Amino acid sequence: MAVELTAAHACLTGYVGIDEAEPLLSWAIDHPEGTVDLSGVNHLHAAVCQVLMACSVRIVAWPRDEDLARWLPPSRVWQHEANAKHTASKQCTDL
Amino acid sequence: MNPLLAQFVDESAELLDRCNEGLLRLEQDPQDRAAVDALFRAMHTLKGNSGLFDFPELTEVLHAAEDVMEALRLGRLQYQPSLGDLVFHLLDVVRQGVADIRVEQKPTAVIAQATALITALKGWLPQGAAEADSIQHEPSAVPEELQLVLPFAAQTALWPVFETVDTLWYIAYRPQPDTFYHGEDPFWHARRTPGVVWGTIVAPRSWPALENFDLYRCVLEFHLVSQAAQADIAHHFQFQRDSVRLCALDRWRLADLGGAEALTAMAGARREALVSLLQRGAWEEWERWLAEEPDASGPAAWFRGFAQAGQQDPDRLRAAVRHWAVSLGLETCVGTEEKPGGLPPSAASRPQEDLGRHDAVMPSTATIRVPAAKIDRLMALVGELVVAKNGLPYLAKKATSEYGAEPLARELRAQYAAIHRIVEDLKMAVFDVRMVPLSTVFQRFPRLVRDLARKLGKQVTLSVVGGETEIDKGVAEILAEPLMHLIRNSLDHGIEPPEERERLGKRVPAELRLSAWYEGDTVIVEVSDDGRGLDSDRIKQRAQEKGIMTASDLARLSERDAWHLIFHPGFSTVDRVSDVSGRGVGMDVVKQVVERSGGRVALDSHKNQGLRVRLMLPLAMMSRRVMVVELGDQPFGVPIEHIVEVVRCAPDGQQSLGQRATLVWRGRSIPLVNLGEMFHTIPGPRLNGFGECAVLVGRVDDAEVGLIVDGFRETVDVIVTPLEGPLAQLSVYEGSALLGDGSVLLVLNLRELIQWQWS
Amino acid sequence: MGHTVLVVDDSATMRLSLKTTLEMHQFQVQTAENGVIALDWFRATHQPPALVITDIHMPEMDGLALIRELRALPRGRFLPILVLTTESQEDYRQEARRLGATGWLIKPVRGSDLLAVIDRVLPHH
Repeated sequence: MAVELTAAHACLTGYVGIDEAEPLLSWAIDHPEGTVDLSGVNHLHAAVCQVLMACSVRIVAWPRDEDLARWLPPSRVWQHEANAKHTASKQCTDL
Repeated sequence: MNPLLAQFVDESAELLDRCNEGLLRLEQDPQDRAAVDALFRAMHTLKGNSGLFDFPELTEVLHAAEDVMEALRLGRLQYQPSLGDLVFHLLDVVRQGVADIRVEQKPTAVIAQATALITALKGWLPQGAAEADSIQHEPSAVPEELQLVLPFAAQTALWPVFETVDTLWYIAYRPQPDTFYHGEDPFWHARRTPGVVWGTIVAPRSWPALENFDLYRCVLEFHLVSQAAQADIAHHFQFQRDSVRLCALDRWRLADLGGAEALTAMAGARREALVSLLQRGAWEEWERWLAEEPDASGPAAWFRGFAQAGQQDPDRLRAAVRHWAVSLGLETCVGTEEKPGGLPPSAASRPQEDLGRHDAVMPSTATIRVPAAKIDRLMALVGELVVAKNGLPYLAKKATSEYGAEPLARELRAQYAAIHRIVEDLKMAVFDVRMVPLSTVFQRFPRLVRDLARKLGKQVTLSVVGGETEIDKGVAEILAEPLMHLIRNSLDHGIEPPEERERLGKRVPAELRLSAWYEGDTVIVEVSDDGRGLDSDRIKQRAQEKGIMTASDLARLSERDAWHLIFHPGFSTVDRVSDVSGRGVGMDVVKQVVERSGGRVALDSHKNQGLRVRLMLPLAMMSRRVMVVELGDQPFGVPIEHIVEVVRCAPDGQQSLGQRATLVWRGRSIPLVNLGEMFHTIPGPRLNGFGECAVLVGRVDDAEVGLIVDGFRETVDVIVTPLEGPLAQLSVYEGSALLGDGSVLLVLNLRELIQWQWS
Repeated sequence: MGHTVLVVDDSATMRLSLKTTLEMHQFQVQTAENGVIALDWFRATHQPPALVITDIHMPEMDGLALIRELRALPRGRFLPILVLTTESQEDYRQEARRLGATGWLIKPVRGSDLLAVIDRVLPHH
C-alpha cells in the first residue's frame, strides 16, 4: 500500500501504481486545500503524476529519491507550471 | 543432456508427429483449414524452439518451411501433392536431424541437406510473399518541428557531459493517449531510458476541471537527454516508435539554445569583456575573469561550461560568440558570419535488435522418453521376478526333504544366491528409473501457501528445503495430497493471525518449513511451523466429546499419546468447518495414505512453539519385507517394520488384567492377542517342550501388542496387493501376497489389530 | 516473493526456457499452454500476475484473443502484456499493439533481453 489519505493530507510512499490514481483524484476533488507528502516515493505512475499535476493540492515534501525528484517539474503548484522558458524550434527526425 | 535441450528433443518428436498428421489430412482434403492451421502451428513452434539453440541450419530450414505453411494458411498457395512430397521429405530429414542431436550434438542430417531444402521450399513461395519479408521498415523521414524544452540550469548541467561524448540525444516522448490501456507506465519507461543525463515531465498548457478530468487518458509528455547510442535509445522505445521524436544535440546546438540569453543576462561591462576574451581565445585571462564572477550558477557558469566544451574548436567557438553578439547588437564589426551548429547526418535507422543466440548447449548423453506405463509394467515384472525367485529356497527344501538330494539342494541355493543378487541389482535399476525429485511435488506449495495465507489473513513465509531429494514416482504421486493437507492444517489451525502473534511476542510473518532429506533407506519429508502447536488437553476433550475414548482412558494417556488421537477418523480440533482444511481428507487419511506406501508419520510439538509432522517414506515403493508366522498350518505375514521382537514365554508370564490378557515385557504390561483364537484356527496356542508359546511383539506408533502365534518362519520380500471383493472389508488384513511356492499369504494389519484390541 | 509472471505458450520447451530464466531472477512463474487455460487461471487466481508473456499461435485461444479478453477484465486493463513473436511477424506485433499489448519479445528470447524488457515494463519498487 503506497497511499495514505487523511482529511487534509496525503502521504505517498514507495511505488505508487495506477490503481492509486482514482482514489487520489477523488480525494483531491474533496480536499482542494489538501497537502501531499511525496518524501518516501520512489516512483509515481504517470497516471498518478497527472492527477497530482491537474489538481491544486500543494506538495509539502518532495521525494528523497534524487532521480525521481530531478524529473518532477520544480513548481510548487504544478498546475501553474507552463512549459519551461527556454524553447527553440528544431528540425528533428523520427525514431 | 541439458534439461532444456532434452525437452526440445522430446517435444520435437511430438511436433513432427503433429506435422505429419496435419499433412496427411491435408492430402486427403486440401481445403481442410484446421489441418493447415495445425500444420502451421506445429512448424512455427518447432522453428521457435530450435532458435533457442545454436542449430542455425535447422532453424533456417524450419523457417523456410514455416513460410510455405503460412502461404498455404493465408491462401496464397494451393496445396499440391508434389508440395506434400517435399514437406514429407523435410519432416523425415528434420526427424533424423533431431535424432542426430541426441547422438552427435548436432542435426547432421539437416546440415547436409539444408541448402537443397531451403531452395526447394523457396521455390514454392509466391513472389509477393518473398518480397513482403524483405520490405525494409524505413523510418518515415518527415521532419517535424520539435519544441526543445531545456531549462537554462539543465543546459549548464549538460556541458560537462560533452567532455566524454560529442553527441547527445534529445528525446521527446509523447505517449499515445491510451498508453495506460497498453499496460504502460510511460514515466517509468522514460526514467529507464539508457544514458539519461536529464529529463522532465512536460505538462499540458491547460488542465480541464477536475470533475471532467479523464485520469486514464495520458496527457503528459516526457522530455529527456540521453548520452546513449541512438540504436540503444531506439531499442528502448521500440514499442513506442510512433510516440518518440529524437533530435541530435551536439555542443554547438546546445550553445545556440542558451548563448544569446546567457549573454543578455550579464551586466553590460562584463558582457563586453566576456565577448572580447572569448573572441581572442585568451584562456588564462578567461579563468581570472570567471573567478571574479560572483554568480557561479548563472550565466557565468553556463559560459564556463561552454568554453570548456568548445575549446577544442576555437574558431567555431569564436564564430558562435560573434553570432550572439551581433544578434544582440553588441558587435558592429563582424567578419563572415557563420551559423553555428549544424546537424550531424540524421542517420535514423531501424532499431538493431540483438538476435544473438544462446550459447550452444551440447548434450552429453542420449536420452529416450518412455511412457510411465511402460516403467510401471517393468516394475511389476521385477516384482513377479522377486516372487518367482523366492520359490527357489522352497525347491531346495523340497529337494532335500522329498527327494533326499542334498547336493542338488546346495546347487539350487547357490543358484538362488546368484539370481537374488541380479534381481536386487535389477530392482535398484528400475527404482532408479522411477526416481523423481521431490521438487515436482513441492513446487505447487509456494503458490498454495500464499493464496491460503491471503485468504485466511495470515502472514507466512514458506521455506522449501531438499526439493532435489529423489523418491519413487509412485510415492511422490501419493504424497501431494497428504502434504497439501498438512500445509492447510498448519495455515488454518497452527499459525496464529498476525495480531495474535504480535501479542504473544512471536515473529511475524510466521514460518512454515517444508523439507526433505534422506535417512538410510528412508526419505523424510517434514512439515513444520512455529504456530500454536498441539494442545493435548483440548485434544483429549475433543476425543471425549466425539466418543473416541472414555474419560478414564483419556486420563491415562500421555501427552504424546494424546497427540496421536488427531489421526483418529473424524477428529477435528476446530469446531467451525473452515473452507480451507475442514473438508476432504483429514489427518486420518494422511496417515493411511502414508502407511499404505509403507511409510510412517511422527509428530512432535511444543505448545505455542509449533508443530512438526514427519513423514518417513520408503525410498521406493515396491516389495515389502514381511515375517511369515504360522497359525495352525496357515501362514500369515507381518510387516517387518512393525516387529520389535520375537519372544517365547511361558503361560505363567502372562497375566490377566480384568478381561484382558497381558504380557509383562521389559517391565511393561502389554496387551496380548491370541491370534489363533481370533481366527478360530486351533483352540489353544502351540507350546514347545518347555511349555512356552511364541509371542511376536509388534509396535505401531507408540502402541505395543503381543501376538501369540504358533511359530515363526522366514522373512520374505513380497508384493502386497490390497484385498478385493468381500475380503476388502476385513481391515485386519493389509492385503495378500503370492509366495514363491504359489500359496497365498495374508498380511496382517497390525494397526487394526491394536485398535481392535483397544476397543 | 517476487512478481508473478504468467507465461502462455503451447510449446513445453518455450515454457521451460522462460520459466527457468524468470525463476532464476526471483519471479514466480505460472504457465499455461493456451489462452483458455491462461484466462481461466487469471480469472480464478487471488494473486493476479504483474506481467503476462504470451505466444501468438496457440490452439484453443491464440495470443491475440487472449490480449483482447484480458484487456476487457477490470484487473487486466492496465496489465503489462508481452507477446512472443518471431522476427518476421511484424504484422502480428502491430496487431498485438493495436489490441493493447505492451510490447513484444523476439524469439529466440535471450535471458538478458527478456530481463531488459521486463525492467522497462515493470517498476520494481
